[in-house]
Amino acid sequence: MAVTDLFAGEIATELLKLMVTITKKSCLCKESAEQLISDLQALQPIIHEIKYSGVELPSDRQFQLDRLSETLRGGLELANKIIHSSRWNMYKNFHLAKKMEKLEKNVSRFLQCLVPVHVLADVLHMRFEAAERFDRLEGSTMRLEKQLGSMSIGAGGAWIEEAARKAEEEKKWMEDSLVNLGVGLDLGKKKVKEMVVVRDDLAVVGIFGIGGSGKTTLAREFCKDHQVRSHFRDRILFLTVSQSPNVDQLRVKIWGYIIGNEHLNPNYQISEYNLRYECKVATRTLVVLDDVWSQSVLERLIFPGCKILVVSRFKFPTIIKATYEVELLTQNEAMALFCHSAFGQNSMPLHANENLVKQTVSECKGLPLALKVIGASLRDQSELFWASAVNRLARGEPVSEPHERQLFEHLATSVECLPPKVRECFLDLGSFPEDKKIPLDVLINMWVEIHDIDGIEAFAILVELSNKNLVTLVKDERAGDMDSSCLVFITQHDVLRDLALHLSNRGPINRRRRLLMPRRETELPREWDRNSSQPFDAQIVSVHTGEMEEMDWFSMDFPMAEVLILNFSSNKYFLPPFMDSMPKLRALIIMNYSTSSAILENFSVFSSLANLRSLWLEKVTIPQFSKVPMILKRLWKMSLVLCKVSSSLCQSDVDLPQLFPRLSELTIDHCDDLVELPSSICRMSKLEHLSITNCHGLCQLPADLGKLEKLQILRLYACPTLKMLPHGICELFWLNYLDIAQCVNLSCLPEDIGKLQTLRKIDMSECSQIRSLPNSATSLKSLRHVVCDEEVSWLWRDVEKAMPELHIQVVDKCFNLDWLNE
Amino acid sequence: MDAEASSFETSEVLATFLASTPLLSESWRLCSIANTTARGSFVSDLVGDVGYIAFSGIQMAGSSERSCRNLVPLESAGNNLFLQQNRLNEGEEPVKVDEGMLHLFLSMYVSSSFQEQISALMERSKSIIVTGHSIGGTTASLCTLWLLSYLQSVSSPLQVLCITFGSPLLGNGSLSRAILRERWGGNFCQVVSKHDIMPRLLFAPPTLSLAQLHSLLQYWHFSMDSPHFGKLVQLRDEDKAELFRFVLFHMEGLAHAGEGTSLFCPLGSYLFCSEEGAVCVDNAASVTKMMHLLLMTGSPSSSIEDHLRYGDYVGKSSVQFMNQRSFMQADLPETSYEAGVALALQSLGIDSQQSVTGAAKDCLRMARRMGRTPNLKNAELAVRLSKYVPYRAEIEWYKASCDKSDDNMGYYDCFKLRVSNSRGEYRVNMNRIKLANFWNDLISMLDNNQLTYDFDRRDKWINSSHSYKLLVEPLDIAEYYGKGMHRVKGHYLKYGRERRYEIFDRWWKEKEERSRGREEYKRSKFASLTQDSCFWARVEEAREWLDSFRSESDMTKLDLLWKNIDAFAKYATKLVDSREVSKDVLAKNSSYSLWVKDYGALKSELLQHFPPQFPSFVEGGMVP
Repeated sequence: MAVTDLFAGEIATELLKLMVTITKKSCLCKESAEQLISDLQALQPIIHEIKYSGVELPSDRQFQLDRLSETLRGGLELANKIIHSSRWNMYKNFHLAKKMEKLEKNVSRFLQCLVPVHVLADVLHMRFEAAERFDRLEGSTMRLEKQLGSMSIGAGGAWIEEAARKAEEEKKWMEDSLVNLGVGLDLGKKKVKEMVVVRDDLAVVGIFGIGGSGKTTLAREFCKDHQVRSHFRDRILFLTVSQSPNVDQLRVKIWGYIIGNEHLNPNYQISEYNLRYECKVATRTLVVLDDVWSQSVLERLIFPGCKILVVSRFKFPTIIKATYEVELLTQNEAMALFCHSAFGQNSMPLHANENLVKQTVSECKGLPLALKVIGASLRDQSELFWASAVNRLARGEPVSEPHERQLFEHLATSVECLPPKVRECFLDLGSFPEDKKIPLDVLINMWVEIHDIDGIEAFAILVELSNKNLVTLVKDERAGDMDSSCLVFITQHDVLRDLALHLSNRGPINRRRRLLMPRRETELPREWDRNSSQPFDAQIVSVHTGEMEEMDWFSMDFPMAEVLILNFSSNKYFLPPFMDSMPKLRALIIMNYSTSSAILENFSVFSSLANLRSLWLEKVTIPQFSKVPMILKRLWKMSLVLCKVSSSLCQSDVDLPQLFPRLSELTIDHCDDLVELPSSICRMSKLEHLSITNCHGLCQLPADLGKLEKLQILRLYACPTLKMLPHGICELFWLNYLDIAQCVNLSCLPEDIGKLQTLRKIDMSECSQIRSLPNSATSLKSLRHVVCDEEVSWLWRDVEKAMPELHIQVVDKCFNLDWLNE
Repeated sequence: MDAEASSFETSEVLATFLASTPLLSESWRLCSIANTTARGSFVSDLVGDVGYIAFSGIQMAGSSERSCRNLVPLESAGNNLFLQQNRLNEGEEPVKVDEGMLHLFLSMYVSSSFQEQISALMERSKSIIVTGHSIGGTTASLCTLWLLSYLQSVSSPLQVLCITFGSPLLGNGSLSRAILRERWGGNFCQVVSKHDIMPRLLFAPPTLSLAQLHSLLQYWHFSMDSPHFGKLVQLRDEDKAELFRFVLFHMEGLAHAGEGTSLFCPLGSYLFCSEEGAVCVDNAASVTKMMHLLLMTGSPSSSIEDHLRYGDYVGKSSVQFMNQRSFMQADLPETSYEAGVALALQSLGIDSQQSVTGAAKDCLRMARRMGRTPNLKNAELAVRLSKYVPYRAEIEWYKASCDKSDDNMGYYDCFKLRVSNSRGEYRVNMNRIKLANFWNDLISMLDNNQLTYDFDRRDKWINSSHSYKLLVEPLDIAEYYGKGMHRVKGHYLKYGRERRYEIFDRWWKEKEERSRGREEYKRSKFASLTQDSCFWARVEEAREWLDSFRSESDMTKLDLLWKNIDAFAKYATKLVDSREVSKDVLAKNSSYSLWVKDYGALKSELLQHFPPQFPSFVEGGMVP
């Protein structure tokens, strides 16, 4: 008995394997039909063997086996027919192929339905071996199914209907709701159409956006568009590449599609010759590559001679020249989509709590996937649940299990494929308040301190994150390279920030690497208080509150903390006493988001920050230094943004070199009460970067600025009341970058500017009063790059004759209104 | 590369074109009739659609002699006979003309026959040519000036052209510029023969002996009067030579010293004619120079005789265009421009061997360059303006966002107090400064005469300066008061207002005057920008009055303060009622709204406590 069963199992597997090869061959090429016949013939005896093996089989099993052998015999006949049918009798071939399919179905039905039952029955008899085999069986069943599926596409020839039908099914409800909110989609379609259909010079066009923003929907809609279909005469291939694709197979598929032979052997080798010559004759073809994850894959999938539309979360700036970035839904569209998934109708039902709905929608920030998933998980829930969901969303926590699974995990794939360091950097982004622009320098300061990288690498990481659509770099019109890093800001989609929070808030609170407050609250989280008996291991601590007084803080121990971010919005702020217990603190970022500058109290806590290396202060009033016993021995970078500095820096007795003996980068930005720099600044022998930007009150610079012998970068951007540069500037031997852009009242460059032998770049755009250049400009032997207005560019062109390596860049101004709603 | 190398020299072509029309010959025909038959008067005629009026070159010697070379302001003619004078730039000399010439014209103007004939001509013709020989030329110029001013005031489409033959200079440089500014330069065509001394005479200082001049004029008069009658009066050769040397000497000095050193200045465009043809020059400095150069090639006797030979010249140049021209020189010029210059020299009868050739060439070049530079500058400036427009647009957006914000303050107060303390405000301030720089540059170019004379009459500039002023001046005021400058320098209106705004005010007022009489629309909505750009400065002053009123105890001062406050309140109410203010003025927390609230409170307080003590207050109709 056992032996029979063993055989039945064994044979079934064998059968399957054979069937696989048979089916493959049968549809791929006719020659294989002969092979099929012999295979089937070989099978027949095996079944016979089972039937008549001498072991008694139950009659029903006997019957079933008979049926199987009957089917197989039919298959044999079919194969014979294939052989004998004329090669050109397409209809007949197709008909036969259909029959073949039927045969396969029969076989698979038998295998799927009956064999397991057989085996199950046998399991009773032999549990040990059977379990293992059962697994194998199931796996192979699935494989078979898969191949059947792919085969039906390959053999059917009418795959596009198939794909479209599938797409339709998937997106049916989505479209229903998009009927009245199709504006964004139509706009996107129009823009992509412009790039794909109208512009012949673009071979590769991309659609980008963060996960769940409707890229694939857009691409599918695009393929269905009548204009597109007629332009490509229905020659559109839609391929899903996914994260781990079989590139060779995809290549063959595309190639086959291009040359019109869809039944190429999967192992077909595409030769250079093919690529070079054959594709030239091909007609217009559109290949849509959905869900592309890596550049190397994409590179291999690009064939000349056909248009390629790449749909991806990432930007591939080196390959794709024209891209359409999927726009997020507008408020109305978002509302309609949300209502559709939450209430099954396109507008808000009367019974719903309008406030809650609006809050929920605004938390989703126009991301279709978020709207869809959150809407669905709130469907038919009580109002209380809604309220708690809003609350959770605001904290960046998942609303429900499907929300977490569908949305976060969907998005998390983008993060998981990042290199570890970049991934950590991404998670750090959760430490900043939502919907705020983060200055690039803040991030770089932080990353330099905690990830042990240098500024350039930090910038590279940021660019990578931006290329992966995980952050958005908001550049001022002038920004381009590292020189102008202070003009770059970072914004992040809120859902991605939630993701970062979600990923970093795992594990017990004392062990977390980042201790963050997801949103502004009036007091510190109670959870922190509860666990404050234990030291926290956090490396990054971020606090976001309103006004804080001494009583609002409680003692916490942060032996590992290296970065402290204090976000608040108020006029007064008591610095946390626990800064005392942060012996390793290296970077401190204090940002005030209210409209007036805040007065900091407990400033004396600075005296304990012996290891502090970088300091960022925004919208605070800097106290008089002489009153505060703070000497920051290790501080090398200090940035004062939108601060009131008159009581500190403008005092003549302030001794900067004593306070900050190692300071090498000083940035003073948007401080309009800065009238004059203290003369002691000239004694800061370690200073390498000095940026005094957007200081509308700055009238003059200290005359002996030339004593800053290590100064390399001097930025005096947008200081409109500055009328002249001190001559001392010409003594700055190591100066290599001078930025005086938008110093609109500056009347001339210093006469001896030629002495700056290492000066590499000058940015003097929009210095409308500078109408001549000093004669010594021709002796700037290291000068390579000048940024200026058109009027002045002619003067530089004259200089250029003496310096052929000079690159003169005339800036194009571009204007936007982002600055209005900061 | 020389910028001129690619263009054409047109002076000669223009002159040939003019000569090919019947205008010159007809004019001269009438002039000679006037000279012979209408001594001291004028004749008129109608040829087709064109009316001609010619003033005789022979005028009462006594009357013209008496006040020769005495410049008087054109306004002294009274009755607003001539163009409005308010268009002068500050610091510019008033428009002046020779008193005797003005007198001559006025005496003719008041005569009834003149009025009759002119109105008859104006009725029947489509264009009028005013012409005159010698002194008749200046009368013709003045007549044209009057006619143009008159026609402009009644906005008539009638065309006027003034063609003079050997006319002496009429007025100063301001006159010349004023004519350019009105775009009338092309309405004056002064035909000057190669050596004629008459048009050059007034360049010399008035040290010539009267007797000499007298005999010269007499000689000319006799010759004009009876051209076929032989020479009854003869001039002595030494007198001629002395006169010639004298004028040449002074012209030489002038040519070196440049513009502005002479009392008189040529006006309109000049047509220099010679035996060979003619050229047109319209730049005053080049005209002066050219006159000098051509006189150098003449002789004492030719300089006197040429004054009488316009008939020959006109006759010749009228047929000249039909002759085939060819280059005499062996070497052909390289560019079309050079060819044009050579042709022009040829037309002037200067051949390449003469010593003045080089100078004459330079002179033609200069005329072209100077004629073109201001136009180029204008165009350049227009391009620059387009680059500055976005800055203004950004400020407009800022205004709009302030209007929408919850502070309810309006952009004046938002900016003054730097309410949001954000990068945006820094940007607005930056834009404000950039725009101010742009307009200051423009004003300084205007001051240095680098732009065309009618620059400030072009709608483009008037309108853009006006909208700039309306939008940005409130920000300037806000900065002024926000930074406490009024405590240092005094109030904005008197001590802080930039000159550019005053100039823009003037431009706008003039434009309003020009378009006066058109239908006035009533606003149905609040203006997008407050039409009085100094409104906020007035509010700030009123604020101070109100504050000091409360602390003041001196009755007379109180009275004065109250009068001021009252006047402002009325003014502001009127503005608001006519909707000339933008809605930011009326925002709930704007300085103005707060002021109105304070003012109301003070008023009711006063009424309650001491009503009789403030007579003006009661009389002012402020009792509810």
